[in-house]
Amino acid sequence: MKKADWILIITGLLIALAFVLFLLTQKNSGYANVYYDGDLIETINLNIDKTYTYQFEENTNIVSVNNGQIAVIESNCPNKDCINMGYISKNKQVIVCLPHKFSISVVNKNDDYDFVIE
Amino acid sequence: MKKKVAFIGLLIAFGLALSFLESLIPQVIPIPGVKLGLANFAVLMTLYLFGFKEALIMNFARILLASMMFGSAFSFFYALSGALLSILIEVLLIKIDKMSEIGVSVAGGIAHNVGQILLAIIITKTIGVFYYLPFLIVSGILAGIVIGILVKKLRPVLKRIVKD
Repeated sequence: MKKADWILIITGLLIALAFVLFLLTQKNSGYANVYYDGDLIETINLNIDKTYTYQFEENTNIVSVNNGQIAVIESNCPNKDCINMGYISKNKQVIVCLPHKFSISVVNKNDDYDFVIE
Repeated sequence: MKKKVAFIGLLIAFGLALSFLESLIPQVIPIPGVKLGLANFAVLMTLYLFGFKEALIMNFARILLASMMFGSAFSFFYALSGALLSILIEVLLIKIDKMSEIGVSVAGGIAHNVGQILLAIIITKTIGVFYYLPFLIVSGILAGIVIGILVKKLRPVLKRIVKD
């Protein structure tokens, strides 16, 4: 191993650590934004247990809110990654269903910025 | 020449086998295309033994075949983006020659996953996907170290066979 190898590995680990610390300090925020193709569809209150169905063209995602957490429980996408991401509840956590261009972001309702690139 | 073509064919087959092996491993981070990148072994070996052009062709053939056998049209374009970024970074680092096989492999692994994340951000227009980055960096580093060590150990052996 050369010096540059170590620098790369250590820098990478430090960046990852900083990110993890940042994410661990996030709180449960109680709201989630649902996006389709970058457009905000609706903001869901995570304190109300409910099941939501989103259908865009042939793409269906069924979303469940349970106990302050949100997850995709059914999807007709090929890889089911969105379902495998499981339940999320902390501010800034994200579920994406890439083939459907569908995503859910947990947000702090007081944040006056959002996570969408226009 | 004939020998080179045969050898690249072998590397494609080997890369394909690695892709298949990897498709059997359950994904820890459920983002399409984000994975250990075992096939990077075959790519890196091609880069060191032959060069950029050969590695590009080899990897393109591997991704095309892998998508046809156990993927989709979506996974083809998706895999291509990460693979392209990773191969460009690797060839650049080999040219600069400041890093060993391990560093090059780690950088390639990270670049692959960062490439996929960038594409995921563009497709979903959700910048929050970015927060998966730490897991991607760590998995890129771990897999990169293992692959780098293997390439380092096996490269002289394979080089002898190719030169003969």
